[in-house]
Amino acid sequence: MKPYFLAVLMNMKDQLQRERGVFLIRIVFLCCMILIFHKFWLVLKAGGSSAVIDPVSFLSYLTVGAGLQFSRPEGRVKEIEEEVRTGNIAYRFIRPVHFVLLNFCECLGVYFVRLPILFCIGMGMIYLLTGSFLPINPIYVPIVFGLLILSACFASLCMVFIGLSALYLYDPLPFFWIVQKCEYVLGGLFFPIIFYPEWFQKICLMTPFGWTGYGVASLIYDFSFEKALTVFLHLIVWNALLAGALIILFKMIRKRVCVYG
Amino acid sequence: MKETVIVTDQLTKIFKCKQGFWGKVIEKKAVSNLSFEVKAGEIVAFIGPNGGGKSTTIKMLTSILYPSSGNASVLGLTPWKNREKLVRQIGVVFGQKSQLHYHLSPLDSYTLLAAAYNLSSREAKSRVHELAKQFEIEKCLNLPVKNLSLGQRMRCELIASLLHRPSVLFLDEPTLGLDIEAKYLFRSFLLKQVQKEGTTVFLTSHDVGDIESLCQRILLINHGKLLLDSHIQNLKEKYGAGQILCVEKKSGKIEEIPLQVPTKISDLQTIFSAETFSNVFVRSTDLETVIASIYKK
Repeated sequence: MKPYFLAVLMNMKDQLQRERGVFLIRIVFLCCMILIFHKFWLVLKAGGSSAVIDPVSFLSYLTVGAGLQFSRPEGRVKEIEEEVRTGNIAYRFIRPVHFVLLNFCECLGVYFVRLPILFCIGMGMIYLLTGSFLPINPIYVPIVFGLLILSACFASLCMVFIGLSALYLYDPLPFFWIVQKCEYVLGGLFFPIIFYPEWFQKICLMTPFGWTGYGVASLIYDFSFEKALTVFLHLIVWNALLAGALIILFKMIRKRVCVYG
Repeated sequence: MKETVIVTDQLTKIFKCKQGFWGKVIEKKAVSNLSFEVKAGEIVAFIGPNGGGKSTTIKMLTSILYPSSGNASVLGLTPWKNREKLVRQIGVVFGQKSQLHYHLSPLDSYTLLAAAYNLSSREAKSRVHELAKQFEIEKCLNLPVKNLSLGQRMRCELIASLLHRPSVLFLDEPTLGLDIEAKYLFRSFLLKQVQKEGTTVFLTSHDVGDIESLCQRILLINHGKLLLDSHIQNLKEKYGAGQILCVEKKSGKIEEIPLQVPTKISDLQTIFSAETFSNVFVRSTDLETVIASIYKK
């Protein structure tokens, strides 16, 4: 497992060295988003609207959900897609490392740097705006973070899957676009899905996005061990299913590349 | 007697391609019943025209492609059945495809590769240092690959493929796009290294300079078939025109006459009498001319 561990470390280093500019823009974007939603909340409050959750909880929820989105190394999809379309993927087979696992680890390396930094900056921003800090006991934060990493694993597998599917879809970027939209809508990344009608909430929770997005992010304001365990089990199942599908897809691609050139 | 490290037996690869609006499937034979052997420590040039089947053969021998029929063995392993084992014992450089991480430094790529080849970090460090010194590339190790010149990058690629001390090195057009000096450096470093470690080299190149300066033996293929298997010197003697008399005229034009034994004086008279000349010299037939004449035949 040493090369994969090194791949994670190298991508973490790369994030801090080369991708600093991109990351800085994402930090600014997250701060702007928190600011806009805070103002939006104040307007609603001034209008006499009864809030389902308090502003600190809502903004913390957004920070976790958006943090996961802004940590995503989208460029990886394009890189894998290009390798598949140009046939360069075949040249990766001559090294004793597994292509899928290596790419998965490279994506995780990016998440490992971006997620904690965005989380801390987001929380700091919320403190500046509201004067309050975390809505839950800080001792639960590591558990939420662990689940966030599982969500990141799912997102990483998703990116590798979409990139590899270029062999069959030719242009998988529209597919990626749809997945992103599903994450926002079904994962409740704009608003927690408790704002949705009940029938739609059920649909959201039948998809992986309901758990990777809302499931994890909602724990930041409504934590219970029982809920955390449910989210954990769902994430494990969805990760396992996607990993299985990815292995099958990779085997098909390998066969096609190796047999047909 | 030296051990045979590469064997192919009736190796064939047929590609199926879709053509036209209705996607009619047509078959293209890239490699056809190819059989040859390469012994340990040999440096063999595998040459042929574009589309001749060189790269397809290398891809089959390095486990990238599965053959349609026939057998092959590299270091006693069937490439497409024992990929995991094989790739740990061979080194591969594709001139057109980089194996290094574009954004990272070569050193980072080497660290990753060394771990993949199960080299200890101490062993990897000393090996990288040794090769970098040998290839005069120490100053480039910490620069991102994208900032390196093509010549530097190719030397880095070669280090990446030699890191784990492979028994067989496959080189597919390694000097493609390099300038004369970079080619010269690449060849001399490579030759020094493989001679030092007794590595078997299987090289494809369109550059005759690569073949002349590195290889002892030539395998020539065309349309996927082996046309010729010969040592370079034998090839020149058999297919070359031997010595050539070159007469440089005052106009700058050079006329060449193959010197046969005996050479007829009447042949020479036509050249010498027609115009005054500024220089006369004799040269051997170059390998490029020999290969071109074989292609023609």
